[in-house]
Amino acid sequence: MTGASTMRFSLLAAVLVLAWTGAAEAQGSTYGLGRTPTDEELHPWDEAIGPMGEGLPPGSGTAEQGAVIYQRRRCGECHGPTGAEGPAPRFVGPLQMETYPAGTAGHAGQNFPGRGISNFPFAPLIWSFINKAMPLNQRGYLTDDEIYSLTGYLLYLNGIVGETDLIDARALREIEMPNRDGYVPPPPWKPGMRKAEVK
Amino acid sequence: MSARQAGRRRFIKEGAALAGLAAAAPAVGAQTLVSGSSRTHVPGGPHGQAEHPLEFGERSRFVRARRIPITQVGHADMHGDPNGYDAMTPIDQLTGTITPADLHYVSQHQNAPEDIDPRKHRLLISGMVDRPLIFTLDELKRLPSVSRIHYIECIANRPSARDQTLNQVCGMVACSEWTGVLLSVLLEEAGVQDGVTWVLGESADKVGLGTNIPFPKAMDDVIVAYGQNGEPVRPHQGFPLRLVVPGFEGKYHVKWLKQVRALDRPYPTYWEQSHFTNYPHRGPLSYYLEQGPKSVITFPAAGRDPLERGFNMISGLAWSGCGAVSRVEVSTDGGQTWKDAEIEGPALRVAFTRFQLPWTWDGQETVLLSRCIDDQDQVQPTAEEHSAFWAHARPPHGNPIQPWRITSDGRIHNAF
Ligand code: HEC
Repeated sequence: MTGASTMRFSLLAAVLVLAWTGAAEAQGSTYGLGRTPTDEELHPWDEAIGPMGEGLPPGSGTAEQGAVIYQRRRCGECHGPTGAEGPAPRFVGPLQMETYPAGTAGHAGQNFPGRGISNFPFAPLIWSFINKAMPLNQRGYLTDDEIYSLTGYLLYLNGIVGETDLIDARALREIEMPNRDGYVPPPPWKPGMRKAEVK
Repeated sequence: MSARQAGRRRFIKEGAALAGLAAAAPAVGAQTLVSGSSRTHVPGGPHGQAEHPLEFGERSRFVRARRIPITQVGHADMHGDPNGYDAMTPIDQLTGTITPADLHYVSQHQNAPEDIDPRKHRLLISGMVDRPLIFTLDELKRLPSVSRIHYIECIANRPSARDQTLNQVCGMVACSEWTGVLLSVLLEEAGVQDGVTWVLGESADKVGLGTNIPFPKAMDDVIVAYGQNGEPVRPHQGFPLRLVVPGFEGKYHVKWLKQVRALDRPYPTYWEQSHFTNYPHRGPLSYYLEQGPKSVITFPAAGRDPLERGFNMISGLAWSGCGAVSRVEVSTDGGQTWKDAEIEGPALRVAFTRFQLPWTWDGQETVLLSRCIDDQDQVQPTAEEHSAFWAHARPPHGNPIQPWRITSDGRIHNAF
């Protein structure tokens, strides 16, 4: 190959490459705004956990360890020393229906769905909520392992796991929660759908 | 320490320095919260201290427009959250179709973040996309924008026989002009992959609330809003970013939006996996998206001064989560006869629409009713039809016809 044709060839290649990346760009982005997040940005910001444990990080713990962390991290200050006293949602017991107190305008005597660990239809969502929200006003205070242990402890209080069972992403995914059928998947939807059809 | 944990700690540190996250959060009245302002805040003062009285326009001292806290119901509705705060729009004071942002109803659990610095806030588009993207607020503002008028109505905005005023019957609704970027633009920028059926919107609030939105809806008309009625969205409405999901129940309109994740199935969120699906007599109640056609007469209405005999222009608001209001019918004889009310101005999709009907009251006891018909030919149901539709005595969302009884002394009563 002569020098000139090599040159022509690589020019052609460059044009092709340019055209190709151009097409890829056009497909992915019209405005070129926004940036690919770094790993460090992604993880604290993206805390979404799926019902089957999608997104759960590595790590593990046990209910036994969770009992100690429950004391050390002062969960009991709001949820009660044994998790049954409140005032924040009680952890122990069967599916709780709560009743609006007398004198509550418009609602007295009516039931509404309460809280309780056994209400959660999917165990990974307990991990997820502790991770996002607890202890209240101090999100991010617990390590992943501590959250596995605490989740295990709350499940143990409800007789769902054993005291020394290893609680990790796989264990949480495989737990058959008593209220598993309490979660009704939302119906499909399409634009312009009428209310009667949504029902 | 893993990248996840390191990032997490850094986030905590910055977040805490920024927002004083460790401090106990008092229920902050919106009136005293002027985010990003260096002004001295005067407790109780509606907007803080101005250097000149004309620096911002206050309402006349003769106008007492305030949200109405639902103190009694508040606690129970908060399911035990002592700092929960619900307050209604004073819809008896509204004119036209736009609700001033400082009167837009609020329903707040423990979750409101104290103060979000818009320079540090980010929106992440993630999940099943070709390339996850992270946006600053400035970048979002450089994208094509839309400004659309839409109402937002709380799921709890339903009449009850116990309610004594118009505001109690129907105060958890408001209508604003929302400005922002269509969510479809952001999802297209990130390149949505095949198989996406839902998107999860997540909040940067204190407990990470969120909600699942059907993907076709996300691509249709959902707005990532940074503006409300011509100014930045106010803190209690989700500053600096909130989702506006036109026509869907209030809880879908995620405040303090930080992430939209494309998914092939819903990721049930805290409230969705408990309260919104475990409602007594689940079935059709389990998960409800769009709101049906609704209207309410705002004058005359319970809670107002007694009605004077003679000419009175009946006035009210109508809306539908499924489209535009095409007609409103009013009855001044308890439902025996109905007349078409006059629709004021353009009837916009999924927006407050003002209607009126001239009427001369002869001083006889009577019942006033209104019913909305939307452009999908749906008719606002009676209380009985409404209960039958949802197979529940008091369904979680309510759009039944609201009756006002006027007794011969001119007093107006809730006749629901
Ligand atoms: C400052 C008080 C406080 C502390 C401390 C606290 N919590 Fe909570 N917790 C709450 C409140 C209030 C809620 C209800 C939150 C809501 O409604 O959004 C809650 C809810 C929960 C729930 C959901 C319960 C349900 O049935 O819905 C879990 C799980 C939980 N907390 C775990 C913990 C753990 C584990 C700790 C300790 C690491 C902890 N909490 C510490 C106040 C607290």
